[in-house]
Amino acid sequence: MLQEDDQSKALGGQVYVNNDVYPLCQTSGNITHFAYYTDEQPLLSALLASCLQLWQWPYKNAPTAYGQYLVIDNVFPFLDLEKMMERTEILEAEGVPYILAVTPIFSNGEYPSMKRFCEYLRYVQSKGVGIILRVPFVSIEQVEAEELTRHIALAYEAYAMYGVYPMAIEAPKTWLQCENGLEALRGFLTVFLFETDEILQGPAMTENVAYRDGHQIIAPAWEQQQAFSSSYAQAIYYDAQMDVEDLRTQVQRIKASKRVLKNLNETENRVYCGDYAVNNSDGLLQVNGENVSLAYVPFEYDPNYTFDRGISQYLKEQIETSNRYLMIFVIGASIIFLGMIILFRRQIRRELLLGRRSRRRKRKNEEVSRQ
Amino acid sequence: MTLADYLSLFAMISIWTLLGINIFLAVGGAIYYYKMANTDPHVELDEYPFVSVMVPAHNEQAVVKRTVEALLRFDYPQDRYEVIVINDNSSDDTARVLKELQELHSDRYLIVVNTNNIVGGQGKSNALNIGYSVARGEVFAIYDADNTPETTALRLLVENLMADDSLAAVIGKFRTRNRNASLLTRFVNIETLAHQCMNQAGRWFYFGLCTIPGTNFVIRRSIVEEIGGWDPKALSEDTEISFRIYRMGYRIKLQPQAVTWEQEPFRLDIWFKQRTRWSMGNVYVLVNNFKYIFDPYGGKMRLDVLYYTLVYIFMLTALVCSDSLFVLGVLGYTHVSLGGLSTMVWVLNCILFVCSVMLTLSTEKNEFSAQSAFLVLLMLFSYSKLWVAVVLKAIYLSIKQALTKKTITWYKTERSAD
Repeated sequence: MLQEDDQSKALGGQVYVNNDVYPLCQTSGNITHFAYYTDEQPLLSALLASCLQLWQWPYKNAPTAYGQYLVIDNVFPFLDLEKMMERTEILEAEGVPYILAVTPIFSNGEYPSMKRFCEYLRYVQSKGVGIILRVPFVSIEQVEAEELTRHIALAYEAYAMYGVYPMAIEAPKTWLQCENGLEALRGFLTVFLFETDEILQGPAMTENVAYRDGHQIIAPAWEQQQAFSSSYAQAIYYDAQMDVEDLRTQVQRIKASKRVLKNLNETENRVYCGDYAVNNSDGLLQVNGENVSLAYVPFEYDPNYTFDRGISQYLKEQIETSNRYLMIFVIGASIIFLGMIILFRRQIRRELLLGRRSRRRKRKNEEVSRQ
Repeated sequence: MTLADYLSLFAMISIWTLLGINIFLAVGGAIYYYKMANTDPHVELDEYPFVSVMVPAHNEQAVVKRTVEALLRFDYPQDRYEVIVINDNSSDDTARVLKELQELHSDRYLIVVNTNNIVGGQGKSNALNIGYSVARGEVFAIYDADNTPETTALRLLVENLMADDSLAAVIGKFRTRNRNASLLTRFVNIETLAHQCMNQAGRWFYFGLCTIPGTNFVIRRSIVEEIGGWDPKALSEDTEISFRIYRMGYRIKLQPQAVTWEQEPFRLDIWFKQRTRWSMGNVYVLVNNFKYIFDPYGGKMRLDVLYYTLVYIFMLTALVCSDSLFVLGVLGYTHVSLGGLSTMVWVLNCILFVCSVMLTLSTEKNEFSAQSAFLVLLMLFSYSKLWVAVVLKAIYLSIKQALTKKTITWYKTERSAD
């Protein structure tokens, strides 16, 4: 604990802790320190990062202002595309660069609904919007890296077949501490991280090798509203189903702040996933070594498309239908059972009653005969 | 789709199919009970045939006295029936108890055949064949040594048998005498009423089919002669003889008002051994009669073979799969990814099971209560699971027996004084 002397002075604003007011920083001689710090407060963390950056400035030239990315998260094929277009138009009108994080698809990619969804993605892609792919949701306890890589490749294929090329991958922050997670991310130069409680089981890492692997890491932003740090690349996540008014408000706040929002296409991105080698650099997109145009061309749809749902989907539908029938059957059978039970109980009661009456009659007759 | 998906789908279809069949039979059985309860079960005969009541007894000193006394109390004309107790190589005091009974009822036809370990002690079928060799009745009535039949039972069974020439046998209903002895006997009581009696009633109601239950039934002597007596190799002689009767073109009728009360196993180890013997017997019958499923002249009996196939092959496999998947799922080794298999389906299954059993219990006096409903539910998750273990052991023993060619040993159910 540093003792403050008469020459010490407060710097950088004030921090309110309970009802007390403290200076953010206190300078005493050559030492400047935070008067109060807790990593549970994202604002303080952001300020600490900024202060460290400023402190390094005299030795390492002007600090780099790292890009901030706005990510519209959880964009999946069954979203209402009209609503998505509404959000797209708002962001476009405000001139805010943003990214769409699409959820992975492993089957039924040929369905017309997926085609329509990808047509929307193609449209926004042609407008310079970056597309990134979310890693698969891992619902089982243990998963191998090969399995993850295979599923990511399947998902990539589902989008790439329509000319939608995710430039980066979005993964839980915890994947960086796990061998399987890092292995699955290996094919993507740019990795967006998000906060989550999900932990990928498997061999854990004792050190952070993500940077050694050469990834461009975009970390989750500490906060959503006012304060921010430009000391490293960050992503602010908004859910795709966020209310339009809320989105407008957020966009205004971002614009009012000193954030430097960046377009994903302005950075170099490389993807090696399944059969695809995608390279985006200096505004030029190459897929498997060939230049690809991102210009929007409307898709053609087969009006007589027949759904090949596969055995699993077919069975699922059959089971769901039979569940309804079973429900009706159980209700019907229960009513019949109840009716029959009532009938039997009445009969047994009648038998007991008749038995009691006949015993009484018998007793009475015996008494009469005795008399 | 994974293997777990296929297995769970198979389990679901099999379990619901069997449940559906059992519900169908329960409804038919209940209607039959209702009809019978509202009709006079007696058929007056011009002449009552002479009946030989046979009781195989092996170490039955604890119960045989009560049984014989109940048999001697039948309201059947006393000079028209004899009671033959085959004291089958007993090592306890059964012989002495029977001797005393003979002395006490010297005016009655009470015959005791004592066998040694050379001719006797080889199972119930063998004992019945010994009894058959000394019996002089035109009709045979069979009772287990732990039975207390109601006084009207024999008369009702014989009257119904003689009234219809197409009948080879008539069976009665059996109830649990010691149902309050333990939780196990309560379960057995419910199982007896719901799955044995009601099932029989349903099969009779719809298809005119019944299986001899091993006790409380009458059978024509001519039929026994025609089939050459009881098959000593069959551990479940009742089922085996029923199949043979149906193959001959005769029928077996259920007369639910002819009731006997029997002592059920009150300890799990005794129950387990008894049920293993029954299941081995049923497996034997299934293996020997399976070929008739495809025989166009197999008659109604094919339905029973089919039912046995469903129970002992499909139901058993389905329960093993379902339980294994559940345990492996809980331990995190596997998971079912097939959509649509909601928990609601299993809940509905439980509701239906409880309802169908409660319907059966409602047909009996003093059986229908909230406590019974709770017991039925409990039974579903405990007693029913034991059935799987019983059948698996029976199959294992049957295979072992077939491979080693060893002689079948008949497990004698242990009795106790009530």
